[in-house]
Amino acid sequence: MSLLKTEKLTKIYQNRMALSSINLTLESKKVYGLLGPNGSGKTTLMKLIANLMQPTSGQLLINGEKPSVTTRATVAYMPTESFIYKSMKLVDVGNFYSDFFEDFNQETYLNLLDEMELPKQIKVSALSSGMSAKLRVAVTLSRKAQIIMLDEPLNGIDLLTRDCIIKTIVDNSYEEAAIIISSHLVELLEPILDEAILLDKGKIVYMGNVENLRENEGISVANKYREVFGS
Amino acid sequence: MLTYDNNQPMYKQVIDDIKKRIVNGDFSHNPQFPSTRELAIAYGINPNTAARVYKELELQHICYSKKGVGTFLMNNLKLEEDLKRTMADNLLNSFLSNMSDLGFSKDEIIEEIKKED
Amino acid sequence: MMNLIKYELNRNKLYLLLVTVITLVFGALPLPFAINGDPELGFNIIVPALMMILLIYGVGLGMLIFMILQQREVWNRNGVLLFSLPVSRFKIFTSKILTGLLATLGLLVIIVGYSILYINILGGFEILKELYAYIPSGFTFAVVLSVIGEWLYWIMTIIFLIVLSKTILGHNKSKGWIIALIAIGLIIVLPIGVSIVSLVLMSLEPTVSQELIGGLEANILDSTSISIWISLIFNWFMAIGMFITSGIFLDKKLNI
Repeated sequence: MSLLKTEKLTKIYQNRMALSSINLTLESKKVYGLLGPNGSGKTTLMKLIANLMQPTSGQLLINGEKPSVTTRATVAYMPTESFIYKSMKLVDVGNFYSDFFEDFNQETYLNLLDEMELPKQIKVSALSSGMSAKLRVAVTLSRKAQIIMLDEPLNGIDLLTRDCIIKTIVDNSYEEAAIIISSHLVELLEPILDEAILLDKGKIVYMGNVENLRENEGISVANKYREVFGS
Repeated sequence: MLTYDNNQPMYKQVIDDIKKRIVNGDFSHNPQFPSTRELAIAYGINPNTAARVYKELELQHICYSKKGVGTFLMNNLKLEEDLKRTMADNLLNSFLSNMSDLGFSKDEIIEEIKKED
Repeated sequence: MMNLIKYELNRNKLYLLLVTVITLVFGALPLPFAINGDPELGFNIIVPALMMILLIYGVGLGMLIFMILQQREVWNRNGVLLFSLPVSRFKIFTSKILTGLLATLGLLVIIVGYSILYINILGGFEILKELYAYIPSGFTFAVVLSVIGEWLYWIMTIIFLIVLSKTILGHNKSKGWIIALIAIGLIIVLPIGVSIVSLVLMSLEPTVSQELIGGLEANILDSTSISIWISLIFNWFMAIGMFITSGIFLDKKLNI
């Protein structure tokens, strides 16, 4: 049984087709890059997996189960926006997570805060956008979840913070997990990916192992991206 | 950290770098390689690529792995020398073929190299 | 669920503290009137009574806004955090409503405390008997109806939110819509209906004002009708509030 399997997964908002008949099988211990321009359906796919939305049609199974309160316990989703309560201190965020998620590791979290130089006694509202991005990554990666999804973890932050976040993802990702990362910044993400999934207008236009792509076609994911999306 | 050419397989680039380090004697005192995870972190690649690096190195008889212990440099006196030879040959061949593509003859190439000092 | 309520209370502690302080301060304001107010004009009774009525409605309105904001929050950014938790949506909504009720109860205790204090200052529970004797039956009935209306409103709100969150969020589209429409209808019709009945009852007693004697009685009459008017306006507020809440629920983000 695969960790995550979708069959003809479709999501329609009002009249707009966000995802169109997606067939996807994801395995654990792999890093997937979910790549595509804005509005290609990356976030929608993640939200469906996270059980924050319901599909219009088609099927999505996590360990053979439909997304539910139970599967949420094994799926870690980091949205693009800062979703953590502003009034909490960073220590409180850790307590909140360990109160609700059995797979949350308080020790990992506190270590990550140290590593990323985030002060523990500061409030979430006082964080800069770069710090806030780091916090979101730290809190998400501190869960030993089976599926870890990071939506645009590199957006709107400076170069050094990006490096720090990529390093953290490599260093701290729970080894047993399937990790799904979405980004526009294909070049930065490339070295840490196993598989690339290219989405366009709600459809998968390319999916494959990134090393095979380099070996067989002699091009990078970024160049494949340009090939697919460039005019 | 290594700067990668994203158009080339990542594992090959890491292998080339490790070979260079072997030739430079980085592993002569301690033949044990870092664990897959450590390698992934050190090179900023993902753990599956790191595992593939070791698999390829094993296939090329450069290293061997002991179950539960780790990966080690092959105990072969000639290994460093051989690696150096092969890598030098590869570089030389590609250099020569590139130069001859530009229309240089072998003698002209030797002249060019002498000028370079 | 206890965890959720704990965090809801903790996160809103500043707001709750502020409301508590305001209630305490406003409840204390009529004290000089109760002690020194001119009994001839009835100010010693009227001012505290009015203030208590205002406080009850104020707290009700404040808590209604609080609850709407609480439910609203579910759909903004923090909603992602809440709905990613391995806790059912039903429990999330219920915990938010319980938080609001818990806070309301605390404030009601303060108001009841003040009422008892004023009654004691004004000469014990005897004053209530006197008051009751002065109020004509039609008005009493209207006031009682109005109060019942408020309580029904609260109960309906809770049922509405629970049913709506459970049914619609359970993704049973057609059933959810029907129940939601009935619930919205009842919530709008009920308080307005109660207010209209109250007003009709008032107009059915044209001789009431003639039967009244002296300034005190007239004043009490005024305060009663004021309270009914406030109740009417408040019911409208609630109707609008419920409209907003239901609009939020049926928002496209609800994903039905």
